[in-house]
Amino acid sequence: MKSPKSAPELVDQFYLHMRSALIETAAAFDRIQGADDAATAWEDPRLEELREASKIISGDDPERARRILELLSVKEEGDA
Amino acid sequence: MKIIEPHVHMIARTVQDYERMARMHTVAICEPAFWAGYDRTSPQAFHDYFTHISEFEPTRAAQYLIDHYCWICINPKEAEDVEFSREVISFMPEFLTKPNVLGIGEIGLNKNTRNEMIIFEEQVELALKMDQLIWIHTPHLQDKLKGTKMMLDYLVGHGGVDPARVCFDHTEEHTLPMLHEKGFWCAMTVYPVTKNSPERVIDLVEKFSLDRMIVDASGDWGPSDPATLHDTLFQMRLRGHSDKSVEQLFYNNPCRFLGQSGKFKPQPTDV
Repeated sequence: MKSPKSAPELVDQFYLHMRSALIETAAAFDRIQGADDAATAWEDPRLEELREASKIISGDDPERARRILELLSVKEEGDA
Repeated sequence: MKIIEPHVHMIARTVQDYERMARMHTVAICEPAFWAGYDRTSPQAFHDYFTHISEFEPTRAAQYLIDHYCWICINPKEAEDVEFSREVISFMPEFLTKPNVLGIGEIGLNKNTRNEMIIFEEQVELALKMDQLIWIHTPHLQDKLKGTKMMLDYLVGHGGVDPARVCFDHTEEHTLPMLHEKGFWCAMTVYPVTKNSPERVIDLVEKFSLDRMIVDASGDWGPSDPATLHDTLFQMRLRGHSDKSVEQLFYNNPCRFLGQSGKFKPQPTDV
């Protein structure tokens, strides 16, 4: 079932939403970094996973949402 | 256009939600059995709960012209105690024969433990024995992928389960493809923060087609809102999809899956 909208139309439709989501995430990192004991929090593996997720977003390969969800999933035996 | 809400826990919602759903053209809702936010202290508490959702909630819904249906089960979060769970399972058949009980659900996994899996399997067997539909809860967040694979492997390997009579709920980009490929129904839950957004649900529909796809808001006692179902309908229209496709996703598809119970009254409009 193909999207009835063209890619440029989807950019127009979603640009502000995408911009907002990225800024909210950046601001949360800033908030954590500026608080007491930031160094400990910075080592939290959950934040490391989010830093890895940001690399997936900025790459050119498709299926970013699926790959981020897999990154954030419990690793099974045999998984890298 | 009429709307069906395939998953909402009205025991945890106020009457204002019935009113809002009615105003948003919701004509039928389904209430799977779930964890109440605390562990019940006796199997009898489940008997009371099943009575509540199969007898009392329909009377609340009827005041707003909404048909109320429910599913019966021991939920995965309380399935860790196997003997306790088996006591609950022992009286489930008396509820499964009621005219507004659609099947066994939402069974599934929570932390993907061996005991949870034992009770999941025993409830699948009861469903097969009593010719019941199955509604499956997939785990939250980081446990979802592993738990979904565990249940999928079991059901496919079983040999006696018709995937057309099973719906996996709370699917996302990393779990929906494997389920859809095997012929199961896939429900996508729209939550304000976790699970899916309206935008991602329509992305998945565009990628995997309308076939065997269902959307729900899964309103419960946590951060959730029955209106997210209607937000998703609006998103589908904003994305340029036809009224016919919108109606298929939000009305005809749930009619088709739930209608297999023989008890669900709303009929598809595209017969």
